[in-house]
Amino acid sequence: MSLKKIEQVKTDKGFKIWDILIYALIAITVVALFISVFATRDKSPLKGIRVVVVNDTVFEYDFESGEQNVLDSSRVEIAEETSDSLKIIIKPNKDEYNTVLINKSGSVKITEANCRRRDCVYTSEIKDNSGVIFCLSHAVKIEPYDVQLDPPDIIM
Amino acid sequence: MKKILACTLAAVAASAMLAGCNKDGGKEKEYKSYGYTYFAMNTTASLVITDEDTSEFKSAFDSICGKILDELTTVNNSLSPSVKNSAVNAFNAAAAGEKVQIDQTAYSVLNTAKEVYTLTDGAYNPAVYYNVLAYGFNTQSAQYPQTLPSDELIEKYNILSSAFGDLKLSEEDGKYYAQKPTATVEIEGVTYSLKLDLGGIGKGYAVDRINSIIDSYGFKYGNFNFGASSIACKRHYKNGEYSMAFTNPREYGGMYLTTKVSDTLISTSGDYEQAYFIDGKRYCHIIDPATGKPVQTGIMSATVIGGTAAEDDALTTAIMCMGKQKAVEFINEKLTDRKVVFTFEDDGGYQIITNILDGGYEVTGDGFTVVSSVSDGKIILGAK
Repeated sequence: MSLKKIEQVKTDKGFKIWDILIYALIAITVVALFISVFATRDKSPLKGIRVVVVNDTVFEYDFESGEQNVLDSSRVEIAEETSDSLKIIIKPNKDEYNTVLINKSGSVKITEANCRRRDCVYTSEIKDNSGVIFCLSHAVKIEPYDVQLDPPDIIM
Repeated sequence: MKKILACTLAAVAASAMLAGCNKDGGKEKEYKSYGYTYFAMNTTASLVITDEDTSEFKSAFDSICGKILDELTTVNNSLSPSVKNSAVNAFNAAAAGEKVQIDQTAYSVLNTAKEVYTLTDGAYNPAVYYNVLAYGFNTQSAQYPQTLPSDELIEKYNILSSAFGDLKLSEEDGKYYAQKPTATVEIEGVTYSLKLDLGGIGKGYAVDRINSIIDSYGFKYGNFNFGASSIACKRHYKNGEYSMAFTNPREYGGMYLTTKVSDTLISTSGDYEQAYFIDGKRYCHIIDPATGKPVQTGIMSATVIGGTAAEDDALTTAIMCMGKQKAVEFINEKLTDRKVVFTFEDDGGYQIITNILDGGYEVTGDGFTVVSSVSDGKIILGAK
């Protein structure tokens, strides 16, 4: 660096007006994102969840009534049920599995899986209507289920 | 039987499900629902019972769960072809013309099957056993076939199924018998006689039996849903009537219609389960006795509400095989005491035909249109 350039840097201000504006814009964006993600999240109690494999809903659970609906028995196995919890095994394809633990008081998480990165196992449990759990390698999605505001009592 | 017990025990534990309250005689009551899930006849079945939240109710619920499991085991042991010593297997193994002792369950089911066979002029026929196998259903194979059986083979099987009317039932000294028709066919040097597949009526019969058990316990609120094929429906503890949705036969997980039901028995059949495609053509597990081939009448699904679930189970299979015009005539003439809904696949979309009065249902499926109206309890096509 030439002597002239060094002198110029020494005399320059630490922050120019445009720098401050850009930093302010970034700060505003971060705050806005924080508000949009956290302040507006739906913290109402989880009414139900559904498990989707690729585009097919294979399992539904309604926390209010306790009713479970296995929509594809070839890809859903009910492994264990107690008065407090329900453990199901999702089998998206041959030799693939995701074990889903539903706490009947209103939360759900994936406890085991043989996917490559196991991100789904490390994802936080869903306990309100804002969370979603993805298993990208098995194309499994668990999401709050409140699609039908007036769901039928019986599906024939 | 081992399968039923093992799967059921593994699958389920009773679970407290719902607490609510309603007014009965001016007094506020706390209600609670319990649910139990079974695995039987290769599908799941669910029981939901609601009653006053008392310890007696919990005990009664635990008791009925065991009773229902026993009943499912009895029905399965009698009708299942996968149970070695089932009554159906004993009948199927017998030679043409032989008189076989069967149990009371098989006797009752066969009696109903014969009644519906006669009522529907053979549109329901449980003797299409070989045809079902030939098209790749009820086999141990994990995959559906890539090719179809020859017409010649199916015609031979049809000779056997058309002899179902000759099957004779009798009761002597408290024992039950079924005599096999004498019809035989020879295929590649092997002689075949009539065999039965009671899959189209067995779940309905089980639901009838379980409905009686629920009644014997005095439970007024709840339902027993056998694989969404047959349902014993009591009353909803809060609303009185249940809101029931009909599965959309052309959209996985979708529904095309809702209606209200209570204190009734319901069965449904459809071409959307157990089906495969070859050259773009759908082949489902429902065999049309007139052709011996998977039903191709354009009727996608049929539901019958009222009567017994066993009759309804067989009637829905028959309606699937009749075709639109004949089904309407049959419903108008023979099923005036029941509510019937069936769907028909048309070039222009999906049609709903029903004898439920306008206002008694709500269409919820995209592309579905009601193309009938009701006058004096009869369906009038094209009058909507």
